[in-house]
Amino acid sequence: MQSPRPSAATASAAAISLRGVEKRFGDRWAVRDLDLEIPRGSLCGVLGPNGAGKSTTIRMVLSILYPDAGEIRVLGADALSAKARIGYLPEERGLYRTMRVGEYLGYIARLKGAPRHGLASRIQHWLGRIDLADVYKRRCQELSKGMQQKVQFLAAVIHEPELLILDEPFSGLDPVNAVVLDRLVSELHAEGRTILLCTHVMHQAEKICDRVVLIHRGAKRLDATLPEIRQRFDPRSVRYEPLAIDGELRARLARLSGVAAVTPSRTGAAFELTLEQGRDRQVLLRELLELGPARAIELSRVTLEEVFVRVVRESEGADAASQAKEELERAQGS
Amino acid sequence: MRRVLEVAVREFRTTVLTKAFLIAAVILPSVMWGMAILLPAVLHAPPKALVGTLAVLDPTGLVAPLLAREFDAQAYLARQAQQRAALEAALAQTLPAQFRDSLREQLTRLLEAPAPAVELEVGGSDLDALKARLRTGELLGVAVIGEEVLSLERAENKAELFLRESVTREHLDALQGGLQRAVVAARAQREGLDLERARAVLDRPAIVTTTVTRKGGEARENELTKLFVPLAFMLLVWMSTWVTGNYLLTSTIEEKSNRVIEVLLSAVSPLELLSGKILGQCAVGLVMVGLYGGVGVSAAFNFGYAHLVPPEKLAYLGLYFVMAYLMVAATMAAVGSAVSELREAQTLLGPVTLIFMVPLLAWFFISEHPNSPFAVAISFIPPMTPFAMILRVTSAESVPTWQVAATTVVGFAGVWGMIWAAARIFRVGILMTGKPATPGELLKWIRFE
Repeated sequence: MQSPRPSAATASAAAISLRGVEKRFGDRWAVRDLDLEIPRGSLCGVLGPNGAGKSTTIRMVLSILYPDAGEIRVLGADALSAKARIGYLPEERGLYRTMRVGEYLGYIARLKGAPRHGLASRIQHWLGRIDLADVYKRRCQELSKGMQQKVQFLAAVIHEPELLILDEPFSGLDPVNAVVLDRLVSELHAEGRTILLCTHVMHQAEKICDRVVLIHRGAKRLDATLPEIRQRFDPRSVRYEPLAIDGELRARLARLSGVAAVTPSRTGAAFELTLEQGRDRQVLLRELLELGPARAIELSRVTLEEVFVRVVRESEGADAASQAKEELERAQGS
Repeated sequence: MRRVLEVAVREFRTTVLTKAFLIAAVILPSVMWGMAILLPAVLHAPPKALVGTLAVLDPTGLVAPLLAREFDAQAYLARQAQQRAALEAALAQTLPAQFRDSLREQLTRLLEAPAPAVELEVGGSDLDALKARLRTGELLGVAVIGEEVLSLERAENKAELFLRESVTREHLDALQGGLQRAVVAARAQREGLDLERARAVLDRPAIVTTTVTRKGGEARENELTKLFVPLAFMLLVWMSTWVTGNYLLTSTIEEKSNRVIEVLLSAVSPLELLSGKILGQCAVGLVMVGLYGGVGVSAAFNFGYAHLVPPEKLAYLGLYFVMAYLMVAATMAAVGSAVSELREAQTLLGPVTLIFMVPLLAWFFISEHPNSPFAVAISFIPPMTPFAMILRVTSAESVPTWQVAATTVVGFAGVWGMIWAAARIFRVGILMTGKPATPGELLKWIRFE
């Protein structure tokens, strides 16, 4: 597969750029004043609870839906004209049951503008890459669920798009096939393609994404690289698991330099030591080593799941606060 | 346009190149056509002569001699030749040459039964004894002719015939026919009438009707051209548009229900998808019209009815097929996009289908009176226009040219309106899941920007 070569005019532009995008269905806001910039070549995870507006945003990027307000640019062009340069694996996906696999992939590729010449051999090549070399002439309904999912993935990449949008690509996959797909996504990213990954599987996003966007209630709540997120949501704590616990250990840990709190684990075999603001973790690590042999001493790191829960909770709290303030102002005004 | 064609080609291929289509559209009609031609030949068995003894209980003494003449071999053959000649004359008067030949062949087969060898046993009086001989198979039958059957008062206009088992239908017809003719001849004899002369008097003449058309020509007209030619044309348009429309409906529902629709919409716009599907199924419809229409036209030529399918009528067939198909397709695409299951589609389609069906239900009246106010009025109401017009332009009466032109304009304006509305419903409905849309919601989607 060749690496995508964006034209000179579009090379510097972001892969996806949304400015003040809004979409309503009746009186319900699906997306509200959304600004988003996805750099070219990034592997960006889009996270959000159900009904957050992720699918609507993606559908607008693909010109399946049109925004009520705002501007969408995709690969340096307007969204509609970039359609053929995008590969899309929707969350709700399917196949023509009676169509043959090769026929189906050829049809989707041609719709996406892939040249007919050499298409059959390209399909065969890709089928080989996902261990399905012998299914070219088989009907889609004859494949197992896992095989069908891999064929659906191929339908998204067969025309070698510059931008790949994957909505829950790992859902329903067994671990073996998940690894195959994970490897493919990494390879496509390494080739320089921009990948937008919508998923609820936080550890998956954490493992492969270099950037995360969190959408909630139609608005963007977080947009940062993973290192930035780790820094911003650093729990500033150290996990300590001693070889043996005596009655005095918790008190001794509380007396160490800069320790604000000591929280035993649920099993009681380890402790979470939270640092005071501005204190150096290196000093604490040294002092822990001096306490004696330990089974494990490690710097705690925030997970995306924790960030997700925290941001959603924060945003719902903030909304509630502003709502209460508006109600108070109305009461004062009357 | 390239993407529209891709969708159209797929629609066409996946519909036409399937076993179901081949069976439903090609093999089944071919088999039926073949059976209609071959079965009579295959099932035709050479008739056997009627042989045996028929006992006759005839107290009047008038019927038995006449019955003997009925079953006399020479008289039988003479009568058969007479019937064949009468049939020839009737066919020559009413049917064109090739059709006549074919029909003559079929009918003469019925008249080629060998002469009977029936011996009459007259004079007996014990019916029970004769029945006993019937049971043993000694007798072929027993005819019981009462005095009253010869009376013109008709108090008891019946004679009785007792038969042994396993008498074929043809032999039964021959026995009954012979007995009936003998009784009628006996009555004529008793009344002093010349039966042959009376028959000649009662022989009704054939009426050959010729219509002098407004355009100056003359056309031989009969019920066939007046009623069944318009019906045949309309059924061809109706069947091909609704069958292909149904293919469109099911393929739309299939794409929605198997969730492939979102992948498609990431590559093509809803309008491109809709256009491709309509175009592809239109090609399927043309194949069907070509197939069935071709069989019909070739049959018309073969049986000497070529004048019933002149080129202008075939051109009208093409015109009104396209118009009708686009209307049906727009309806099917809109409904298909608004539901998730075929069952739900039937509910929405019911009331719409009724509007389309008005010309079909009124075909007899429209064919008889193509220029009646009712026929003219519904010609100007899409979606009834193409179905009403195909009935009118193929009927015996000619339709004013301005009406053909005006209804074509109105019809295609209707097509534009229906496709516009269908496209607006399609772009919203195609992504909807869950409960099917109500008619009110469909109207809202049309207005939705």
